[in-house]
Amino acid sequence: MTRYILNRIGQTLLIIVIVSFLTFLLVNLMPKDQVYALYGTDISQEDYEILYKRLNLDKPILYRYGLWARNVLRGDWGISYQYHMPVGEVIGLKIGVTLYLSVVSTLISFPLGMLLGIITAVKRGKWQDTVLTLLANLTNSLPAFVVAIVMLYLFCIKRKLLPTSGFTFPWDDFPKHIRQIIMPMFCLSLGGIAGVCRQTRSSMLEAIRQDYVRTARSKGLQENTIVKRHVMRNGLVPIITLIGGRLAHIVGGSMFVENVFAIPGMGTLMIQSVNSVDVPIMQACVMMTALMISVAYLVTDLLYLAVDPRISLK
Amino acid sequence: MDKLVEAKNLVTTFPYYGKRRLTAVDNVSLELRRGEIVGLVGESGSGKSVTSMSILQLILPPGRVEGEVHVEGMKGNMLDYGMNSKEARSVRGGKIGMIFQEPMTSLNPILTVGEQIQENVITHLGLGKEEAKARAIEMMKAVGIANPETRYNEYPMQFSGGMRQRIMIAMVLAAEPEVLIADEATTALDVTTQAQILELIKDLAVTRNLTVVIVTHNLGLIARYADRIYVMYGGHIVEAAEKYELFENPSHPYTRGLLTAVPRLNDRKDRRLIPIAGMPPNPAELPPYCKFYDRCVYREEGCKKGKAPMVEIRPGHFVRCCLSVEELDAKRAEVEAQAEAVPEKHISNEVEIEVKNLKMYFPLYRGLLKRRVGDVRAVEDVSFTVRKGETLGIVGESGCGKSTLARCLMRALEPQGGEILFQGKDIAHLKERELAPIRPKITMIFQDPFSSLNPRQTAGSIVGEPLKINKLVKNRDEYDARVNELFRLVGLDPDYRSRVPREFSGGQRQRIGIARALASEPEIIICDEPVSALDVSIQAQIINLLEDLQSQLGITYLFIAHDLSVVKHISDRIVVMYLGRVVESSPAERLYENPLHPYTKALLSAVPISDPKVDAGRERIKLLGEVPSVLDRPHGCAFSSRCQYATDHCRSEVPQLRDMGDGQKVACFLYNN
Repeated sequence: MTRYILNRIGQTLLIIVIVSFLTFLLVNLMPKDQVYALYGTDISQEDYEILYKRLNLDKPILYRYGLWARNVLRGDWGISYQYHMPVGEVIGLKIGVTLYLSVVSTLISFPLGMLLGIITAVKRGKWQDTVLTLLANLTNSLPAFVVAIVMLYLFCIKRKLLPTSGFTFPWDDFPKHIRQIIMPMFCLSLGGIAGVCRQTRSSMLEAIRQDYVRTARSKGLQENTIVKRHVMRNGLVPIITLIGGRLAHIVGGSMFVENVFAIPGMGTLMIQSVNSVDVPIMQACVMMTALMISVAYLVTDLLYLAVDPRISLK
Repeated sequence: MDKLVEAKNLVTTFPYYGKRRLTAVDNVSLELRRGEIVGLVGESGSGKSVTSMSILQLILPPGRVEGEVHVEGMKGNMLDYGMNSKEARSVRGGKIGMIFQEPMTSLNPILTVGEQIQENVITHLGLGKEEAKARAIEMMKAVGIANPETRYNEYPMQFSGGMRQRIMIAMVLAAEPEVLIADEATTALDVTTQAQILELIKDLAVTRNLTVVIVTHNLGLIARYADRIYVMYGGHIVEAAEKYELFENPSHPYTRGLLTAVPRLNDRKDRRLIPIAGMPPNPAELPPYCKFYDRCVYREEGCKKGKAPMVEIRPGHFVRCCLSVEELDAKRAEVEAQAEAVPEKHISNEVEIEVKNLKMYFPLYRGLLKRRVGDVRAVEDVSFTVRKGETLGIVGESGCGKSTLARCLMRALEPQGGEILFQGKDIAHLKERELAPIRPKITMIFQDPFSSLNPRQTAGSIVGEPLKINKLVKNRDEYDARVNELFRLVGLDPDYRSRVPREFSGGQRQRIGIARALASEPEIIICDEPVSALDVSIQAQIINLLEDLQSQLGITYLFIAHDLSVVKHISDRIVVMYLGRVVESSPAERLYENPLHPYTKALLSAVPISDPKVDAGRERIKLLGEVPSVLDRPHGCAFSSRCQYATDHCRSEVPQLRDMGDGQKVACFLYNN
């Protein structure tokens, strides 16, 4: 079991290293000029040559990657081309917002989605199932940004019920936080709730069909106990595997939602950095996202280990 | 004797097309008395499982159960209480416990076995957690589980199939029920394990004064273990009687048919099986009159008038047939006179295939880098010869290497060592190109007629494929003629050529599989469990077909199966395998009359004979433990860990096959002098 955990951690580290290399490669293959991006286009050819060398752009890519990786390991992500501040500081301001949005959205969509999924599975074929499943299918097929724009127009611009933009942490100003967060959180979590609900339903129905449920029934247990002890525990195990993938989805979705509601998070920062060829920020953003998602997958697998005895026995 | 459970006029229906409902159980009445073992026997679709589940109210809506179920100590009709009522639940699990067929899936994989046993105790005996745990451990001990205190905290996947079935029994009996229903509880297990589990149930029944219902398709099991028998067909009980009465005077045409359709260990070599014509009934398409009419050899026009009543022909012996006993008995001689003789065999002295010291190992990988850490020695040092035109039976329990052996002979696998001499030529290590001319000469019939045929190919193209691949026909006309000929050869109408496998029944599909194997005019057909997936009445049709084909075409068969009765019936010689090695080889008759190896003896004694009088007189040999995994094969003789005669010699050295005369060879130190 310890071996398995160490193994998984090793795999996670390996993945992060590979992602870092691919990111570095891709960003540096962009058809944009880093020298102009950093110093503007009004520089002489001589200056350009000097700066080109200063940025090590004349060196082979592997060398530059090594250099960058060494600095990153020391905690130095470079200087943002756009803000002229250390990347760590720029990201530090924004990552909290994105992390907060993603985690809260996950915390909302999983329990809610699972609950709805259980209801649809237990009441399968009844009206509750029909209505909820229809809604889940509908919302699951709507992209987050479409929902965001429509909601923004309806509730913020037409009705003026809620603010259209901005973000405040709950510990700074709670009522303001709630008013600002309702819309983005709704848009961000809707797909998650629908997705988790659908998955839970099919996983529960799979568990209900199993022979051991028939065994449980033949023991004369109450229907409640059968659902709780035998169906739910087995049916919800596969749902845990979704957490990693869902979080990745939500981080992706937050790029759009942050932009629509003008929330100063990492999503906004990332898009800005691409537009202004801010290479260090771009790399750092991708790395942070990769790290968040890898850790989410790692946690998922460890949770799985705790819930399903079959994994640790293998 | 007092009645514990009585079911009256049970009718169980399920929704079918639109508003129609199909009747799975039709007017079934039965009673269970204290302390007896009742057999409920029937083929698939006979309604035997649905009957037992209906009594327990385990049929979920939209299925519907009507009729009456009376349970001793409970007032009124149990069905009136509703399936989730307190009363129904106290009977279910409390008064009547049930164990199911699949030990692999019937236990909850994420709860420890202890928790699952304990759950039953707490629900029905109302004990506290600690007491329930003590009782659970006591029950685990009672069903023969070593170290119950530690194993209490283990999960189902840490137990073997036989051990899981013991856990199921412990779980059910922990709540002190008075009736135990075993629904095909041993069907998925190996024969020796099956015998162990049933002996255990029988012992527990005696010590606890338990009523047991054995639901099965296996007549032999019923003959050995049951006191009273209900025979089911098409949702009806067609015959009910005490065991000896039933086997001596089987009266319903279906019961009679079953008894002559099933091969028995004590059969004469030249007995021809008499199959029941047609297919097992589909509950959705049963006629409103006698359900057996379409397949009955005794039928008369009068049978179509309506459902036959249940008639008591002798005290305690009930039959549901339109004909009277006198009519049935009068017709019996006529029916049995029609039995055909076994077709003649032509066995030459020429050796068709010779296997010498065959070895097949599979590498075992471990770790991140998938390092090779050892071998699974699936087939180890196997040698035998098969003469042209004869049938060699290969028997053994799961994991003995019989299927791997078949795949080596087919050269689907390349063996690690040894020789396979086909007509004198070693094919063990030939390259694919050199094998091409040999491939059509050795073909195979597979176990599962459902998954071994491509569902999207028509029957005609399945059968014709070998003709095309091996370029055995010159043109379209020749191809069509040959495919039609093959269809007729296996008893299928060539008009069915354009149908797909889904449109055939199990038996018909197996015929397609046989036609495919015959297409390339093979010299050898390897039959890997060809009848084990089929219903008993269909098995006889296929076995007879294989026998006929052999006598017509002079093919050599290698017949692989775990069912000793079937193997003995069809084979001329038999090879017994245990954990990858041959332990005994012998002419079929001789193996049954004079088995030498202790494993062969145990295997034979574990197979019940469907005649209670003969079966009662046989020696029973109980085996210790279960078949070990090939991965930890004991040192020396592989069987030494379970053999009661094992000595230190057996545990240190592997015995070689020795000729004991009369064509019998055995690998055992007991016969070394």
